[in-house]
Amino acid sequence: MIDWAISFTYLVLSYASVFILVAIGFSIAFGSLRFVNLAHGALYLIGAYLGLFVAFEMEVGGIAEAWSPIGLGWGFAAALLLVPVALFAIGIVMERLIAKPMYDRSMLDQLLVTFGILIVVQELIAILFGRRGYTYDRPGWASGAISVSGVTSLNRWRVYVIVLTVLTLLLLYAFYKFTDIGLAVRAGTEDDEMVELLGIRVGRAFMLIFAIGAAYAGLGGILAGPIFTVNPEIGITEVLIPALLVVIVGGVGSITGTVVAGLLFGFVFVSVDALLTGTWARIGIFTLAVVVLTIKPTGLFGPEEITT
Amino acid sequence: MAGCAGDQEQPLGNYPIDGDTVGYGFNGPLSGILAADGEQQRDGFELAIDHLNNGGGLVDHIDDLSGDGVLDYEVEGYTGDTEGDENVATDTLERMIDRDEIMFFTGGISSSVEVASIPIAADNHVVHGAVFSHTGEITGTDCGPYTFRSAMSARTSAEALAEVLPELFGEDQEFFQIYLDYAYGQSNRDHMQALMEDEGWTQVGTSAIAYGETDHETQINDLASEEPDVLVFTSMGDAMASGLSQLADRGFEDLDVVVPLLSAFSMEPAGEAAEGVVGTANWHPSGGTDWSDDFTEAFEDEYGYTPGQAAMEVYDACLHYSAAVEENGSFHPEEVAETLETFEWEYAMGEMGYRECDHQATRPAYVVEGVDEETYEDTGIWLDLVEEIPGSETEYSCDEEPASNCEMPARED
Amino acid sequence: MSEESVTQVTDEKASIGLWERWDRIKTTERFPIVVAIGFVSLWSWFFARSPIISDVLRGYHSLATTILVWSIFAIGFNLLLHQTGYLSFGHAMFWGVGSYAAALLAIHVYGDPLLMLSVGTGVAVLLAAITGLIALRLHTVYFSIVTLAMAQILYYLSLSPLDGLTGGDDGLTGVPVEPLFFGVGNFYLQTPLPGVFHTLWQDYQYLLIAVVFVAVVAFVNRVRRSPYGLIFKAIRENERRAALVGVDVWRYKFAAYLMSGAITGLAGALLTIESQSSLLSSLYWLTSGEVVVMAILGGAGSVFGPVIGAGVFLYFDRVFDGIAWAPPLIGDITGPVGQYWLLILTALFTVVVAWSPQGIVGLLKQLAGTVRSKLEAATRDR
Repeated sequence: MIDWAISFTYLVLSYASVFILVAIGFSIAFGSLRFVNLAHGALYLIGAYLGLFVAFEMEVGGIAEAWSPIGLGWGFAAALLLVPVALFAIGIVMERLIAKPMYDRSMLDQLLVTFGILIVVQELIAILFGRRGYTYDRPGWASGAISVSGVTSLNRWRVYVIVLTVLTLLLLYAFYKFTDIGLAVRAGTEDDEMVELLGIRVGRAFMLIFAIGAAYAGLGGILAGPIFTVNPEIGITEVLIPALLVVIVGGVGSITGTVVAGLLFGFVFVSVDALLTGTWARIGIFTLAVVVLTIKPTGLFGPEEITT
Repeated sequence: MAGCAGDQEQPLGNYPIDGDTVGYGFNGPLSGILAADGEQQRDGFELAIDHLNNGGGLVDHIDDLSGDGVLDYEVEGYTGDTEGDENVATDTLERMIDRDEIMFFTGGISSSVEVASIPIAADNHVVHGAVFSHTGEITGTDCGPYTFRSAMSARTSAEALAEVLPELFGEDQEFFQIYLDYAYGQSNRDHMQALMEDEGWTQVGTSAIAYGETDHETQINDLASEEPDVLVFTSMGDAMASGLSQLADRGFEDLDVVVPLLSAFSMEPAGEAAEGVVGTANWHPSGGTDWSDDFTEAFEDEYGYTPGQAAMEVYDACLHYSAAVEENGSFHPEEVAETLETFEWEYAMGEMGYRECDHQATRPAYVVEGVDEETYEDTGIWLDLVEEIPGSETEYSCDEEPASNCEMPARED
Repeated sequence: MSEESVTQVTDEKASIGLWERWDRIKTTERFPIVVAIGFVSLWSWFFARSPIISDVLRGYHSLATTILVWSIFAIGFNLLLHQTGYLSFGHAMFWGVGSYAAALLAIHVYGDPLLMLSVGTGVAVLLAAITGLIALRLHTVYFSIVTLAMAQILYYLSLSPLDGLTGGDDGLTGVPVEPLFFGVGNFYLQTPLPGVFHTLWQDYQYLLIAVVFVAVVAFVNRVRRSPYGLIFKAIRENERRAALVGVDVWRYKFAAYLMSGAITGLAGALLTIESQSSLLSSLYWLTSGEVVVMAILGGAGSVFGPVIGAGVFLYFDRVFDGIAWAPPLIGDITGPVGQYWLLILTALFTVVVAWSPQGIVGLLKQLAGTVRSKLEAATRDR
């Protein structure tokens, strides 16, 4: 009985942590900045690929095949540290060049432009490195199994991912609650003109929070990427669609909502899969989203109504 | 050869042929994740056209083929990139039939594309050389009057595996099946269950994963609770690769794994994780008849890399179609199709022959095994040959599934 | 006044009169319909058989018809987007459901083309009614995502649990399409038309698609010009304000959604007739994404924008992608130009959304406007 309980909890947390990890960066931008950033999938994608090239020397396809193998070969640990930092930098650039000019545009416009950017990035990566999948050749400490209670074996890396997801979430909460910048962002989301008038440089705060969101996307790429294969399409199929669902079901603007929705999705997915099949599990996820939004159109923890 | 002059002259499809050249079409994935195999297929196609027109390779060994075109026509090769998508594929195919007036087409990896091509071939009276695609339906429920599959069907592979697996892994083994949750995966699960249980193995459980899903955690969990000796994993491409890696991460790297059809687009992303995985392929360069080496040599000379089943299948298809045309004496599609229905040949892959009931070729299956990264870097091939199983042992009768599901339509005008 | 200057003045008046007349013609209700009729009449010939142009374009008849069918899909999608501002990311569900409904009718009952079109449209409307009740209560971005989710539910249902009905991954192929009018007159769709009509339109199938195309354009045009059109405009600009003024916003949104679903279902049924198959990919989110790009790239604000968008998109997807030419000097590195088709298309799309919301139509109008003012200036100073 204990065995089954551990198994089930592990499965739910495994799936949920991936859902949450890919959604957090998007939730931050959408929630704090009211900016629909579908290019979040591109950031995740870049994170996953960058991790490969920092950690290893890769034999690639596509245009870059001529210079194969490519990579720094600094090892997986180095990649884990460097990728979020790199994505943070990219996030800053992205915020200044793309997000800032679009803040005043309608959400629909933001959605479409960032969608276009996502596909452009996806295509660039596909043409440069080929459309085939790559796997992370993880070192011993990051792979293999751990046994729990002597009987069940769990995927060691996924356990790390669960733990790391919890840690990063706590960090995020702390940032919002206890730092000045976090406060500025929360206030700025309410009324950015007022905050500017009070002398607080909201623009700066927005840029920072966007970059943090990007760093999270990159972190997601290098944490979740190794569980699956890395190919150009994961930006949409594995990241964007689940992230969008989780964020809106959880309610825009609420990190708590994103987390709860992620757990809910994980629970539903694992349960339906156990009772029926994998396809029904997918149907279950989408149905859950539709059902929740029918009952509460702004999401579980969403505001009473949303203004564009 | 004079035959029924009246019938031969009836226009049908793109027959009779205008001018001195005859069109052969290649319709396969030259972009997208299947491109790894698709591009190799295209190379095999172009080599075949070259040899048919100018001699060389296996054309030199085949009596029926002159090496100077086919029936005094020069063969012109046309290519279409299906992108692995049925909508695109049917368009490119129709383009080749309309504008390029092809008499024959081959190529393709994706089974849904293959299935979508069957009615187009039938409606336009163009001979369709189905290669690679494994799914039973091509010579089962969806069988077509102009479609001939020279590659293994899922059943062919299963029969071969049933022969070899007890030798490789032992008698009385307990096996678990993880399979893709749609028709192909489901029918493969059924074949493997029936055939392995006949060999004395016991199936201890099955678990289905959604098509397109890469997270196998729940399926592995199901497997873990049953503790099998062998896993039969009906999957492909990136899903297969992630599944194997996730298996290793749950401590199952020593589990014996069987994947029914192994090819480049599945092996590439899998890397190390695919070492030791057993499956089947349509051909392997170190096996086959004496002619295998001639083909490999000609291919390596032209393209600088070692060919695999993808190139071989397409090359073979072009050649045996041409030989059937020569035997018939004209390109008339209905007559050529009739000739093909009882056609037998033995080029590089072994003894092969079609049958009337479902147009499935009875043919050898090559049981192969994934190699480790070092060996791959040396040889450039992902697979090692374990054993060749001849057609006599892989065939299944017209009364058994999937053949029994085939109600072969008549060739209409 | 001298004789010369008199003639000058009268000439000026005449040329101004010409432009004015053109402007007036353009804004009549009939104009788009006439343009539509002219377009479909010449389209297949122009794209697939015209002496030099079709060779340069590398067009072929079945792509010409595919473009027409997708154009109808895009017009249907755009009806919702343009009239209400709601962007559906799940319109593939109407397209796919219309397609499957028509196919199943033909396979299990009887494949009369007009019946297939009616059934496809009808089932799509039903689906629209059900999904609209849920989705239209949501904020725009939520709406987009929920429609995506709904379409995915249908996709996965068709892939596996319902695959006995839908053919699963392989879809339904070899759909038996019967002659028009239940066989009266033997109008098999594939029968070639006589003489010059064959050169222009090939077969009755093309005529059928052309007639549907013109009918859809006429319908959408009517909606835009009607009092409904004005109300939709009000809703699009500010839903809350429109509600405050007393407009039953819900009713209009719902009506637009149903009409959009109906036209899309009609297009799906037409697809089944044209390709004699119903494929799983018709329900996939990628398809929804493609029609979004088509409509917006072409120009969401106009009736013909989506048509242009569909043409451009499909041209890139089916023809451009096959171009093996590589640019000189760097060709070894870049590889064939064809592989950049989606990159180029999406880059264009992104640029359009960011800077030219009127799409290609907007750009063309601007161009036309510049050319015309230059012409006007030239004729004025003589």
